[in-house]
Amino acid sequence: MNDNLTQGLSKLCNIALTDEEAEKMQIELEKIINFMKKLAELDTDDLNEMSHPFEGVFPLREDKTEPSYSREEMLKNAKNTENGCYRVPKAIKEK
Amino acid sequence: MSDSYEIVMGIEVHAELSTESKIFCSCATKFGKEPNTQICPICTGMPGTLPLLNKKVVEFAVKTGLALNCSITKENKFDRKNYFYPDLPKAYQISQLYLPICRNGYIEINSKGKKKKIGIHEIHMEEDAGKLIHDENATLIDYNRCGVPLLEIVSEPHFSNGDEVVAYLTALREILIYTGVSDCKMQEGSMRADINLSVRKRGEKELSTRTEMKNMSSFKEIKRAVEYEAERQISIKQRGERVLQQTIRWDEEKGIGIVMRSKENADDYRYFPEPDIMPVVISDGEIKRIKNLLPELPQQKRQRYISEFGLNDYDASIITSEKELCDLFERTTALCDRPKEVCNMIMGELMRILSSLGKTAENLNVAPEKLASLINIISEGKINRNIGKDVFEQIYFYNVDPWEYVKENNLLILDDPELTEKTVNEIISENQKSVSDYLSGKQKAKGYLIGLVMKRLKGRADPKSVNEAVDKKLKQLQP
Amino acid sequence: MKITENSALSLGKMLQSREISVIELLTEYLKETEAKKDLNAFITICRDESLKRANIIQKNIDDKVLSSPLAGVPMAVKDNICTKNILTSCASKMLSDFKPPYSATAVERLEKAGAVLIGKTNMDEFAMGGSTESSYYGSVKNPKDTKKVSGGSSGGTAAAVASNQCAYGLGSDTGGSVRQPASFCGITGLMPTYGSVSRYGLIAYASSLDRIGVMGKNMSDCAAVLSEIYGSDKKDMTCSVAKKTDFTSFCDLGIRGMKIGIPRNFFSEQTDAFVGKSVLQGARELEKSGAELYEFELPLTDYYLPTYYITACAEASSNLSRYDGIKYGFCQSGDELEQMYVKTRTEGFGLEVKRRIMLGTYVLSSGYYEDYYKKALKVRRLIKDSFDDAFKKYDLLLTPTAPTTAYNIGENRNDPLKMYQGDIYTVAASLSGIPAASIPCGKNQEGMPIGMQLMAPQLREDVIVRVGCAYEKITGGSVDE
Ligand SMILES: [Mg+2]
Ligand SMILES: [Zn+2]
Repeated sequence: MNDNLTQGLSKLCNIALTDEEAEKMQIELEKIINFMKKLAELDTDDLNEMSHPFEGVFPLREDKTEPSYSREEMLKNAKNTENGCYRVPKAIKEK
Repeated sequence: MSDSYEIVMGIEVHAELSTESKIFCSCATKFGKEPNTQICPICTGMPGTLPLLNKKVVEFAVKTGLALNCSITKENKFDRKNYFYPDLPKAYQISQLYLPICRNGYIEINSKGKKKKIGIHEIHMEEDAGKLIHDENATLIDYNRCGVPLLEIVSEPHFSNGDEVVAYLTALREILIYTGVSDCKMQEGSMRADINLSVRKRGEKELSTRTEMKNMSSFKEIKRAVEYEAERQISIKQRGERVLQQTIRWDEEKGIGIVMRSKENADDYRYFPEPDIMPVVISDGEIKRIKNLLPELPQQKRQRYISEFGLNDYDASIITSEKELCDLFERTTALCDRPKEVCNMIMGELMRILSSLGKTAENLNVAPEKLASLINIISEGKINRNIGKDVFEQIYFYNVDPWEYVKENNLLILDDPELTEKTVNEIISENQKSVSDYLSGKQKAKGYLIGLVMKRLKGRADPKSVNEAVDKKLKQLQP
Repeated sequence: MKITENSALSLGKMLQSREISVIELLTEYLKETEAKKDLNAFITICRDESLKRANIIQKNIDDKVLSSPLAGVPMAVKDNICTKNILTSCASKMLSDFKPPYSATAVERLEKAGAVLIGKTNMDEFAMGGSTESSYYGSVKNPKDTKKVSGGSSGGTAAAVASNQCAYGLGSDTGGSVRQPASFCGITGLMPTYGSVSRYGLIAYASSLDRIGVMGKNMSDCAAVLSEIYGSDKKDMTCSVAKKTDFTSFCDLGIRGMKIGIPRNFFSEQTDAFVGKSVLQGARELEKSGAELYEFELPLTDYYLPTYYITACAEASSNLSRYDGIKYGFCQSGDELEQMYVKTRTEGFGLEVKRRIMLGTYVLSSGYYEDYYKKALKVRRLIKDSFDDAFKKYDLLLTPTAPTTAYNIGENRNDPLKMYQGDIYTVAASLSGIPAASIPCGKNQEGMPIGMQLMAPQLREDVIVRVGCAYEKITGGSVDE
């Protein structure tokens, strides 16, 4: 594990840490990650991953519309709105 | 373009599905509504909400896969693709990475007379993102489009020029429209194509660094963009420099590509199985049921038009390129049993009107009954072909009944040899100059005289008898 | 005995027979919340709304249109469960002004049965923690000893029930968050089968593990509440296997001939000796009532916590990405988009949440996915299989809920790994999707409550209800003596 672990993660998560916090976080993360490494002891080659605790067939939704929520209701929890839209600082970098 | 380089391209098409409701909620999917009026807590990812998968999306995906000769994945899973961007309210897109619903298909294309099979690598289901509206210092977000179901159709890197790309997109678009899964309106963004392009020295085996091009709004722009980008990469290589892995936005007005971002450090999307959606199992019975829903596809239709109706390859291709044209052709032919005549009327008159109006065959308002009746009238020699063209226009624009229109306007062919002879005599005596031209060997002058006679008879005369009468008269005048 | 000390079901009976009115009862509870403010069990008290609602419920009871056993009984709901137009903060600065325009299905169902929401309870921020110390609104104190933690993450609901500030409550359990605080506060906490109670409206921490759970003074109360919220919901695709069931009908069936498995390795040296002894003593009481006890070895115990923390943190890192300041919640504006994201998330989240987001991001990122996340999903299957095997032999498994009783506030705060180890006995049921409950079984030398965990196969809450009720009968009920 390298020193930039916390830095890299902080970038991916959009969370900034002060130097002091980062140093502490690095130590804690290393400790926890080492603890997690225990799983490597187990042979799991022939196993399927279990991403749901339940297995079975589940009903899907019919393609029917229902009235949407009112725009006011949807926008009321937003801090910045303009002309019925959510508003953010200009997004330059595109995805 | 330098001949020592070849282009390698793959295409990712995003097609919005024509479902009533969104992929994971019951909001409507209509285009062009006021911003944020088709949203709810689910499609805006409000805390505590969960995705509810739309059955129709799965059906449409299977339908598309079958139409594109793919194998269908029996146990489907969804995955989350994580990244921050304001058009993505949950900060992850629900998509499929590990088990896409369709794999290993192909489309046969016909580019400049050459047939080629283009491989389909995979098709997966996913949700569309919202729309961003940029102004000077802010970005406004409209989530109406957020959660509209998408199919991402990923081709193999089988393209080597822009014409093949256009042929592929044309064929794919036809199929998606035919099967009813998408309306594929590029202008409304319901069909979008991203092109991955790289160039390499001819003979090289390894693929070179590629760029990804986005934001082309028509097939024409796609072709322009492809040509631009290929030139650009070749000239970079010729300078001995390295092509960078970049995402490029095509600027239509300037006709250039603009780098959106460099991808030198691959994005880490941290895909993982979507825990909120259970695996979707598609049974053999279900696949069979959907297969039975598949209409005759354009390629099959084309073949049938050639073998069953005797159309030529070109005409068959044009008519089968639009579902509306096929409908008109098939229904009219069924009524009058004159496929070639029907084809000629569509290829000639209808296409001429459409192109002069700048319209496509969408929402045609020509009733097959009326077209069949007109074709019968012409074929039975009741009116002249030229008058037939006028009648077609009347049908197209005013929805007239052809037979009544012909009768009311006295357009039936004239069967009056005396009147014809009288008119020929009048024209000959009024146009002595043309007569002497003809007599001195200018063949063209005869046609001119015939034209004048036809005109005076308001086009209703039988061209054959006019021709004979003029011939006879001119012979008499021969010295 | 104060009226607020009664069980929810007996209060329901008193309301139906007009011994007391809904508004009188509510007023008594509101007085308790006022008097016990120092415990910090609530984030929001819904005084006005609940009074208004009490009148409506009373009218419905009078008109005989509402005869549910819980009609008119005040409940508390954990603050990560959405309540329409009422602050639902997840005890985070990030959502400290979030009023959802919808209610959770569980809340809707209880309200339909006449529940009166008295308030929203305190918790660990985004349900990440085992002591309710990570709340933006401050720690919850244990009613039994205010120097001690109430457990977590549903520490607020546990303390509120234990101190009679509500008759029963809803919590959420991802790795033990209903059972462990129930054990620390001396009440009953029941986590139903994954997918049997809708998660719609439960703000996600780890989607494949999260469950809404019930907290009450005894098992019969929990059974009654569970009966109202149990069963499939069209708003949650993962909730379609369970049928509506009246669990109170199992309360009196007894446990004669029931096979109870006791996994020896859940009583290892990390378990406080007194806790282990009390739980085994409890088991012997059940034996006297006709159950058969079997000691056995349950494998894989050492792998529970790594598997749980990898899975939970990975899902959390994705679930919590939506908090970006745009659509709801806290927003710290910046000149640039990136800056807004970073400022909002840096200031909006507390330290434990940041730690888990980072951990989760790590185990999902390229190069580590296979070794951690994918691996954990496979081990999860092994763990579930080991429980399936055990349930071939036993109807129920009995263990301690937590290795210790409630510890002092601040004691584990600076050692996350130590804090995580407190979940050792609860996470296995979470990973396996099975139902589990914690019921009180005695106290230690300091008078702090001890919890006994009961685990049953998927969809067999009835077994837990039977055993829990039988145990209460033996010990004279768990309503605080
Ligand atoms: Mg995609
Ligand atoms: Zn919606």
